[in-house]
Amino acid sequence: MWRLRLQEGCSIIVGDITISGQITCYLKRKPNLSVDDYWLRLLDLLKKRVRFKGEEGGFYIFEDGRISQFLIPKAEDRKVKVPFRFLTQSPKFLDEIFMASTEEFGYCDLSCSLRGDIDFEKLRSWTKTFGLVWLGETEETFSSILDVGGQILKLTAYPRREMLNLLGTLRRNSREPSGILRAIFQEESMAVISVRVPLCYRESCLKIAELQGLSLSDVQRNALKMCLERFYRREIKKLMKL
Amino acid sequence: MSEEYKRRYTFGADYGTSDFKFGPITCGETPEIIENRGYFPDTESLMYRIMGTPKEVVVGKEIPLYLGSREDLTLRMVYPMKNGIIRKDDERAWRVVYEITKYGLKSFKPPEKEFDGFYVVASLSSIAPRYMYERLFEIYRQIDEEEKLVKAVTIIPQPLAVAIAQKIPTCVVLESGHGNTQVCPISRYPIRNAVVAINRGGGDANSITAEILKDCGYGDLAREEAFVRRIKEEIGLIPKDLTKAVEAAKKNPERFRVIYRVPNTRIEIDLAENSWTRFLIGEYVFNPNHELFHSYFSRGMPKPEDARIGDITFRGMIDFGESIIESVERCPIELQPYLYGQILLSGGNFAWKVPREFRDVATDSALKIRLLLEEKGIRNAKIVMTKDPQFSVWRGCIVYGYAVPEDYEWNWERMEGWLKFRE
Repeated sequence: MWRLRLQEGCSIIVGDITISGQITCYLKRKPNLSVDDYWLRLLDLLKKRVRFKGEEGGFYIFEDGRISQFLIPKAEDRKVKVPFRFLTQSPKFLDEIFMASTEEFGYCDLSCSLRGDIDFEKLRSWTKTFGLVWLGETEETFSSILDVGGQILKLTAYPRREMLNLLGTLRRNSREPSGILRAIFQEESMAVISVRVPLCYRESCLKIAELQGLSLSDVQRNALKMCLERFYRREIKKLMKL
Repeated sequence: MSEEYKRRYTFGADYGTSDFKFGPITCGETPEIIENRGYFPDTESLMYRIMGTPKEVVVGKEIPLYLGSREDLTLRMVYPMKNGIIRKDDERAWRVVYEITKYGLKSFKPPEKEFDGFYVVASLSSIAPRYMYERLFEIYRQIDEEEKLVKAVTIIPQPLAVAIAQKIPTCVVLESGHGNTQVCPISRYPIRNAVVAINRGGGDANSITAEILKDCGYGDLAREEAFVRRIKEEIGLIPKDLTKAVEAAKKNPERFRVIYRVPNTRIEIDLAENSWTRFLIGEYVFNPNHELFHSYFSRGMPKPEDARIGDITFRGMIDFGESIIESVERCPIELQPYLYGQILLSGGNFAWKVPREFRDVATDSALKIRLLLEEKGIRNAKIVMTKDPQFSVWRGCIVYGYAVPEDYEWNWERMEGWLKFRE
């Protein structure tokens, strides 16, 4: 089995991780192409980025991971949906299939499962604090909607199974998957966003903080979250329905 | 309920004789696995009165916490399936199936308020009779009534799931698990009349491994099945040709000598000059007819016998090559070349190591099957070993659930579609 190690010093991953799941890639529909040709087209896009090692039992093996067809490609208007599965232990490989999948339309649908030694307690508190919407928890799972560098994703964790799942539509012009993992696994430092506001705002903020028993920075963070929530309302609504 | 909802909550459940593999689509490429068994603790015991009454049936990873003596095990541990089949009136077995199913679904119950149950694709042996379908549907209905965990359910034969996972609609699937092996030709759907069932699987390779261990002086260890299974996996080899492989190993015993140290124990297994027996382990699964096995049978090792379960006869001694030919020859002649053109191997019993240094005499499952077919005059057969063969049925369940339209209702004649318990 392959082993993945993210950069040292990460605080949530404490061991090895396996990444697998499905991606739906969108390709431009062209006349005279059969559905199988679109699968070959996707393979070509990926082969340009990662060294292809061969086919084995329906799996296409690349340097750092493998992919296989999930469903037969399906044409819809001017697009063709090409769903496929992947398995890797390298976030870099995930970045490459993300780039290949978003080359023509700029976005793809991702469902990505991570298994391994993850500190789920830390993850729970991080997602509760910084997630846009906390969807709840049971004995076995917890779930939240996150904004990671402009990518809006639903995270569902299964601590007893040592597994978490990320689901969402990823856009090419926002953060790449390895960057998303870095953020979720708390490998990046916190940023300070400073704004100059009229004094009356500060007074109101202090009042809210006092009433709600929060710090001033918590109130500011919540305000920012509300703003992001509003901005990403449509995506959040879509993910909540799923 | 939308198509998108169904895709998000597709759930696969593969009922193997030995293991139950389960999980939603969000598991990615690997499902969860528990043993397909349940333990009925002695609830009258005084200890339970003091410590609190346990569940009536314990399943999953908790089982070891409740185990008693070895004698108790035979009485209280229930393995519900024999060769993929559960007897109609075996209520304890059905109770275990209910418990493992509920355990699997509850393990992945999402916290969202919008969750209204999974779309479950369950998979049974290709020879499972209709009453098993009916009873399994009933179990899902009961779980849904209690927990609202099942929006809809469907059941597919395991070989079909493998073909779906591999995207090959015309093929022969050899699905070999712990207890049995099924050879099932598929032409869009399983050709049920052509299925050949074999009463041999990974468990039989364990049996011969145990005999080998006894012969080498490890009789005390050979009683523990989990240990024997591990030894089998570590030292077993599939020979290209058993006679030649044994000859090579006897001529040069040091080359094939294997010493296995059990991690975190003082136990060391050394087959020494008997290291040639490593080849017997693999061969026995594929073809138990070689004369070398006769000495084991004559010393009391049970021969894999023909067994009749319901209407199905499970063949004991047929070799895998012969079984493929028999199955294919029950299909229309025009179809036969296409079936030989795609033979898929699936199931944990095909996952064998081939150490690089033994490639001259040892081989993998795919090549072994090809050699067995060639012996019988079938050339140009294409044999494909599925990746992670123990999970391919579960993967097929997920693909099937994702693809079958949400509004396609269960049809008993076609044996496909979703069965729903609520509006």
